[in-house]
Amino acid sequence: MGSATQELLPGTLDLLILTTLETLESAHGYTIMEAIWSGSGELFRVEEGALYPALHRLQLKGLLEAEWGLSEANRRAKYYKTTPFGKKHLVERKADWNRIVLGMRRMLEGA
Amino acid sequence: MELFKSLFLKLRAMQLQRQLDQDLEDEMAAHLALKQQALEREGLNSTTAKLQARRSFGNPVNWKESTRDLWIPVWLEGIWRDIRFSSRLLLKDRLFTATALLTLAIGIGANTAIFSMINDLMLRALPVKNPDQLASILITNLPPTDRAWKNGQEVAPADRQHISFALLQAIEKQDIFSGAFARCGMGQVTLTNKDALHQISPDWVTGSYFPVLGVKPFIGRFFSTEEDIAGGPEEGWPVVISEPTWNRVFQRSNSALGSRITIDKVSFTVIGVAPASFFGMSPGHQSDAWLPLNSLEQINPEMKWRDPGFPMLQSFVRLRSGVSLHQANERMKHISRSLFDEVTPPYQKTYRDHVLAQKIKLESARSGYSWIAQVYGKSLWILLSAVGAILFIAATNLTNLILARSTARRQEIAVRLAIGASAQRIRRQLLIESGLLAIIGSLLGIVSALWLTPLIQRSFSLGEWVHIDFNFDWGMLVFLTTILTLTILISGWIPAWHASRSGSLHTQANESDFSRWRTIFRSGLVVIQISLTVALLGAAGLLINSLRATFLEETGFDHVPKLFVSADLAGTGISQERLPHAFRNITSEVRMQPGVQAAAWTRFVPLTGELRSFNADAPGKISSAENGRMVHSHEVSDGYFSAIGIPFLAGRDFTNTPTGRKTCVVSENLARYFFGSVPSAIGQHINGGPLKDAEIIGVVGNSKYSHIREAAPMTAYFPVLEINPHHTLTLVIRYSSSREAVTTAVHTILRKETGRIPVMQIRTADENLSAVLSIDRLLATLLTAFSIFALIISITGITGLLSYSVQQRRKEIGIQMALGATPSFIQWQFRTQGIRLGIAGIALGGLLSFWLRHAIDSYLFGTKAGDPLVWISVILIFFICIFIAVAIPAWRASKIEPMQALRTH
Repeated sequence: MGSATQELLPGTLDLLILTTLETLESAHGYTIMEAIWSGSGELFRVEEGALYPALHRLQLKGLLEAEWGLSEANRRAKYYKTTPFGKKHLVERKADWNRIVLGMRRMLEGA
Repeated sequence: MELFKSLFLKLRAMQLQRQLDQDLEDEMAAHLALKQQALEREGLNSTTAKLQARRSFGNPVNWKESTRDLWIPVWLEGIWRDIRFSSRLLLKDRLFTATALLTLAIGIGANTAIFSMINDLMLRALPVKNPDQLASILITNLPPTDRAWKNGQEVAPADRQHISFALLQAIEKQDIFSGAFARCGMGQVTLTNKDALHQISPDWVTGSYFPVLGVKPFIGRFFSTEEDIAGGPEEGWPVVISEPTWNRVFQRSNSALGSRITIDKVSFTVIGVAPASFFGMSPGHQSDAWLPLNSLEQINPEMKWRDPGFPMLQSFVRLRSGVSLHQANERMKHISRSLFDEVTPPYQKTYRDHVLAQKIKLESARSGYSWIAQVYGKSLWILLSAVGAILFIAATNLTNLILARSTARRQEIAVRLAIGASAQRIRRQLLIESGLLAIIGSLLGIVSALWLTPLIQRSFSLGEWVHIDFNFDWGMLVFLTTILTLTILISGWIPAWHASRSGSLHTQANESDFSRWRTIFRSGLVVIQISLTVALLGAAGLLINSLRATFLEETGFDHVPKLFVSADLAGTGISQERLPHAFRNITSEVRMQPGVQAAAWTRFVPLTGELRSFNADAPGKISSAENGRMVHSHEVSDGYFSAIGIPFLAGRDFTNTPTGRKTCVVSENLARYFFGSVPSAIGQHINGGPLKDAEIIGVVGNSKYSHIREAAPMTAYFPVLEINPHHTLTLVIRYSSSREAVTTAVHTILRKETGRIPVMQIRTADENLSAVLSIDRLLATLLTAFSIFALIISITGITGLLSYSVQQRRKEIGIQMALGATPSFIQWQFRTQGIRLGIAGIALGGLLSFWLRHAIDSYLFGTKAGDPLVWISVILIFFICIFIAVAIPAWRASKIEPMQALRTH
């Protein structure tokens, strides 16, 4: 773990999780955590204390659904998948995010 | 959508709580294992890896809790836990729970039952269109010579609810009304359908009745003004029957429509059935059928409803929309005089002036107009007050019980507070406990009300006359349940609040303050309970005394057993002319039976509330306008007086064969009033009644007429068989053999004479009396039941309070005994405590009863509200009960071991 990790803007954790699952299809908590770490180029490290509540919240909201299976270590593990509703939600949030980024860039760099 | 999904998932989570815990556990374990592996791959040894992995999770308990909280909110789970805990506690303390639930059930049940009756009789709107627009027409400011019979006395009435047809028509024309209708009744008539006879009690109504009321028929149709014409419409008279009649006579068959029936020998066609909810205009009285008013003359020519001098129509109007009752009344005040001028026949001047001065008053008829409500309404309100008192007693008892329990649990609560429970949590649990009691108790109350209500209904209904239909009013029930629930919660909150404050174990100083406050509060409640119970017991005692006096009252008849056999010869095919002959044959045959001492016919059965009267005068002696008096008229055959046991004082009875002369027999008080003495009445004439100007041939002893509690009125007896007798008469049989023998004989004779057994009813004098007094009996029974219930509660209240007191003062008692107090001294202490409470309660109860002493005056007979016999008995009963109540706690107190008491807490 080299460079300083970036603090997450509030509300973006959901986006990160959903994006991760877009690529991974189905994964359990640990995998997601590692995927965010590596996928962000070691900028974003999500702690377990933040990840799991977020996962459960997303599940309660209906954006994710969960399935129990066997992990690599032959343990009972919970696998998360995006629901169609979640996929739709992701598209919208991505669009929102891009708009924010564009706006900020314009403001900050005058471009 | 999201909301539902998450709710659904949460509910599932609650269901599978254990599964949820396991899942969280597993999820965390899987994560830890993977993390540990990853760390090991990076080079850490397994122990360090494990530790580090675990640390990354933070506090696992915290993690689990916060995640779990997402699924099942803590407060929700807390409440569920409290419910389970409270149920366990309640189940453990079975006595307390059973008492509480029982009290609640009876309290709610009784209140609901009584209130639903009041609701039905007096509060509920009629099931017609826009009932708020309906008003009943009353005449006030009556002429001073008008007389009415009320409560056994001749009085000048305040208002009259019957008007003449001419007046109704005049009122109907007013533009503030969108319609008017009237009804009148005549008691019972016989409906014959294909040779089956049924007694029905119909209403004769104007053609405008159904259209103005706006009721829809259940099947068929209603008649309207076109069919209410003199002589009847071409197709014959129509009749609308009620749903119960349809059930009774036609077994709900559709063939009822269009079938021809006869009512008292007049032919009618059934055109429709009224909906089951429609009973007519009088709550408490189910009308069996509705007939056009014009048919009344054919059935009973005596009823001259068209005659402007015969006001006999109970009338109603419908206000035009936008017109208020007040406005309508104002208008009526102004035009009363002109209306009366229009319709009043040319009477003698002074009398006509009186009539013109009358005023027409309108009263809301939203709930109909019911003489039954007038008569029984008062007893119902009395009953409601009684059950209200019961409810109060029950609720306060519960408060006491709960207070006692919370005291017993204060150690448990103190411990809970010490290890971190918030005061709010304690309160919540205690409230949930009370709440559980409230809910279960209310449910029990609902069930008991469902059972209790029809029971009371059957007792109230006098069969033929009164029928109170109970439609169980859910709105009102919910209201009552809410009230009691609130009471419970409040009575539970006080101890809850107290308990949560008594935190520390070492606040002994505060403790005694608390307990003193508690004791005073509880004592106060017990005193109130006792006072209410005293009032109830007193009322019950007075009513029982009245009933006893009533049954013992001298009627003027003797006490030899008599049978009253009512027979209706309407459907027998015997013509009106032959009726007297038929009746005479029957009496001759009956008189010849062994065991029968006398037999005679009478039109009205004494002491059953029936009444015919007229204003009488004696030509040449006393004129009606000045001193004419209300005379009751009786129609009897020869031999009546010996059959019923009224002694002859002068003159003779009617003869068995018609004389052609107009004769009558009068009672002693009439003879004295009109003619000065008994002997001088013979040969004089009385004017009025069914025989104008009848000669008095005999004088008999005074006797009661319509009600046993009334004074014996002036009565004139006319020979029924000589004045075109009605087809329904009652045979009075004085017998010395058995009832069955007489009944069988009568049946045989009737069948022989008429070809059938047209018997409507057979009763003894006592049965008649019981039927008439059923309201009083019911009132007495219910009040007695309520008083006993209240007494039991009050006694348990005292016992509970004293036991609590003993418990509280254990240490003190121990010290007392250690210092030399004898057990009987200890006992005496507590006994006096209980007795003091009792005396306070009785005193308060006495004050309460004194304040309410006029409430049940109208039910008292042969006894006053202050009857010493009753009150002394009540006080005695109470003292005995108090002695019983204090006995056990006092005895327990005396058995306390001083050393044990001092040592234990």
